[in-house]
Amino acid sequence: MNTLGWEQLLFVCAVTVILAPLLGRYLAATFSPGCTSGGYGGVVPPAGTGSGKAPGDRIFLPVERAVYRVLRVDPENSWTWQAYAVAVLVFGLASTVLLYAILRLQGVLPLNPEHAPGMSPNLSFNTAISFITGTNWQAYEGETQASYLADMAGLVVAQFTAAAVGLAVALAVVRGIAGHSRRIGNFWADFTRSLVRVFIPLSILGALVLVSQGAVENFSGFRTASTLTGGTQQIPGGPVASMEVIKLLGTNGGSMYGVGGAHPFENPTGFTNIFDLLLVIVLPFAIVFMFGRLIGRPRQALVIVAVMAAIWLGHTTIAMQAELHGNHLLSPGVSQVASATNPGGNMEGKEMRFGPSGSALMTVGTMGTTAGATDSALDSYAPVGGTASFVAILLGEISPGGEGGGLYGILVLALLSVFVAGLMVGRTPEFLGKKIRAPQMKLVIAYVLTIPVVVLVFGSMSAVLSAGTKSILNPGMHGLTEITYAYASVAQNNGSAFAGLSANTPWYDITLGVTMLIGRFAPIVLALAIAGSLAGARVHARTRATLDTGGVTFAAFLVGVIVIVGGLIYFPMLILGPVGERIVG
Amino acid sequence: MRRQFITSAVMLVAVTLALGFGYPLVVTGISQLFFNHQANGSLIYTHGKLTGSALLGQSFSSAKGDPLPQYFQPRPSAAGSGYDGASSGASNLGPSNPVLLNQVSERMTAYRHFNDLPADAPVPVDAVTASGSGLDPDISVQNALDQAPRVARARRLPVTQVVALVNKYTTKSQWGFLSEPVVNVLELNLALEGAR
Repeated sequence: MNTLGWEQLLFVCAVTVILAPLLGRYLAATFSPGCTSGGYGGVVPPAGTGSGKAPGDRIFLPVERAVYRVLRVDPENSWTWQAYAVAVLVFGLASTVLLYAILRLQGVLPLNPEHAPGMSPNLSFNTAISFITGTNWQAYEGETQASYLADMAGLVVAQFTAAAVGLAVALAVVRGIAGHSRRIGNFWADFTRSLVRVFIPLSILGALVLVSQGAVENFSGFRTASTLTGGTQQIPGGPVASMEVIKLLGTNGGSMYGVGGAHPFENPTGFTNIFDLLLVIVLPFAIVFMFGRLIGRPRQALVIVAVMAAIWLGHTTIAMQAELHGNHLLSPGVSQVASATNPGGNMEGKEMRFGPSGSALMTVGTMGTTAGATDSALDSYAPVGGTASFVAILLGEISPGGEGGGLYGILVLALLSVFVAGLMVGRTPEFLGKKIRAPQMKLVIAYVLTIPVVVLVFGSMSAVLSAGTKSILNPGMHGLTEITYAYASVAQNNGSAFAGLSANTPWYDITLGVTMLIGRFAPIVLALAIAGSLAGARVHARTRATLDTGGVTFAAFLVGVIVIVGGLIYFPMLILGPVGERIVG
Repeated sequence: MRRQFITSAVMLVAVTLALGFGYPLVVTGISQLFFNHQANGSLIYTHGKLTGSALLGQSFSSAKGDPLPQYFQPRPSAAGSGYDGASSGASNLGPSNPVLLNQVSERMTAYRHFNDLPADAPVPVDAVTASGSGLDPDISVQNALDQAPRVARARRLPVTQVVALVNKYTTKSQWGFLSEPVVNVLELNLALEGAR
C-alpha cells in the first residue's frame, strides 16, 4: 500500500481507539443509570424517571418524560422477551405501512420541486421495507424519483427509527444474556432514549460538520447554470447533509442522490470521506464497550472488539491494496502506477479526491457494518477488492456490524463458539456464567442458517429464471456476482450493490423486499428468544473448569468459527463468482 | 397487541414531526445562517450569472460534443450524456467487461491524438476512466500537465504560463494525507479565461 493509504488507515484506527471507549462509557451511563460499576446485577432497564443520574439529564429528561406522557407508557415497566419482540414487530409493520403510503402518494404531496410521481406499488413495497429494515437498498433514482418530502418525512425518519430499534434490541439482548431478571426491558423506553440521547444530538453535530466542508443543505430544487462553453447544467439541491449523517450514523446507507457518497455534494472532501467512515464504525465499536461496562467485564468487550477489528482490518486492507494495484486487463499504455502527480490504481468508478486507496478504505471499511455506504462503484472494483467487500457481508456484518446488530450478531456467534469449544474439550458450555443448553443452541442454529438459506435459494432462482438474468449488466462470472451480491447485501441489511444490476423489476423488487424482511426480523426475534431463554437463568460461579471467554484463545477461536460458518456456506458461490473472474480474467 | 399498535401510531406521528420536519429544518436553518455558501452548493457566479459549482465537474465540449482544445478536459463521465447534474452515475462496468476494456483503449488513443502525444506515451488512468459520480470536478496533476501544451497552443499562450496556472490551481492533499492532490478543472478553466 502507499503512504497516503497507510496514513489514512492509521488515522481511522487512532480516532476509533480514542473515541469508541469514551462513547461506550457515555452509552453505558445513559442506558444503565446509577449502575456504571456493573457486575451481573448491574444490568437494569433504563429508568425514565428515576434511580440514577445519566449524563445530560437536565436537557434530555424533560423531553423523554413528555414523550412517555404522550405515548402513555411507563418506562419503568420491564417486559418479557415475547412482549418486547411483539412491540418491535408491530412498530416495524406500522412504520412500513406509513412509509409505503408516503412513497405511493409523494406525487400529490407538497415539497416536490422536481415533480417526482408516486412510486409504483412494487417499488414502494421494496423501498419501504428497505428503509424500515435499515437496508437502504435503492432501486429508485435518488435525484428524480423521490421528493424532498419522501426523503425527509419518510426515508430519514425510517433511518432514525431503524437505528434506534437496532440499539434497543441489542440492549434487551444484553439484559437477557447477562442479567438476573426474566424481564429484559421496555422497548419504548429504550427506543426513545436511543433517539433522544444518541442519534439526534450526534446527527445535528455531524450534519453541520458535513455542511461546513461543502455538503449541501437547502430546499431550492435544481438550479440551472450556464456553463463556460454556452451549455447548461442542472445543479441539484436538497436537505442532503441531514440525511447523509443519519444514513451513516445509523448504519443505513441510503442517500439522497443516486451515487451516494461518490457525489461531491454529499462527500465533498477527503476529510468528509474519512469522517463518513468514522460516523459508521465508531458507534458499533462503542456499543461493544458499553456491553463490557454493563456486564462488568471490560475484558470480554475487548475480546469482541479485537475480533471485530481483526476482521475489519483484513477486508479493508486487502481491498485497498487491490484497488491501488489497478486493473491488469487495461491497455498497458494506461499509467496506473502511483506517483507524486497521479494516484494511479483502478480509477473506474472512483473519484479523484479520494483516489484508489481512500475510496477502498471508505467503501469496504463500511461493508462489515449494515451501512454499505459507498463512495465509489463496487461493480467496477477489481475482483479481489470486490471479493473483500463481499466477504465482509457474508461473514454476517460483525466487523463491527450495524447499530446494535453487530453486538447481538457476534454474541450469537460467541454462544456457538462456546458450544463448539465445549464439545471439543468435553465441558458444559457456559457464557457469562450461564449454561448453554439444547434450547439455546437450536435458536442459535436457526439464527445462523436463516440468512444463507434465503440468499442461496433466491440467488439460484435469479441465476436461472429469465426474470432474474435479464437484469444483468456485466457478462459471465461477474453477472453471477451481481445477483448473489444483491441478495447477500439485502439479507444482511447492508444495501450496497454491484449497481450494474437493473433491480427495479417486479421480480427483484418483491424477492429482495421479502429477503430484507426475513434478514432483519428473523435475527431480531431469534436473538430476543435466545436472550429470553437465558434471562433469569442461574449464574454459576467461575471455577477452574470454566472455559475462559475473555482471553486470546477464545478470540482466535471466535474468528475461526465466524470464518468457517460464514465462509464455508458461501464458498461455492464465491468460486463461481469473483474468484473465478480473477483466475480466468 | 392492540395497545402496541396505538402506541406505534402515536410514536410514528411524533417522530415524523420531530425528525421528518423539525430536524432537517433546524439543520438547514443553522447551515444557511453559518455556512451559506457551502449549504447552497458552493456556487460560482461570473458577471452575476451562475456558471456552475466548484464541487461539480462540467463538460467543456462544443455543441456537437467534441472536446474544445482551449479548455482543460475533465474525466470521462457516465452521468447522463456527460456531467448531467440531474442524473449522477457511474458506468458500473466490471473490470473484465470487454465494453470497458474497449472504451479505455479508444479513449487512450483519442487522448494521445488530441494532446499530440507520442503513440507510446503513458496516459494517466483518470483521463480514460469514468468517475464514481459522473460529476468528478477534478483531474490528476499529471493529466493537467499532459494537457497544458495543447491548451497553450490553442490559446497562443506560453506553455510556462499555463503550467504555472496548473500549479496555482492544484489542490494540495487536505491535512497532508486525507485526499489526493488534484486539479479542479472548472476553476482552472475560469482562470484561463481571465488570463486571456
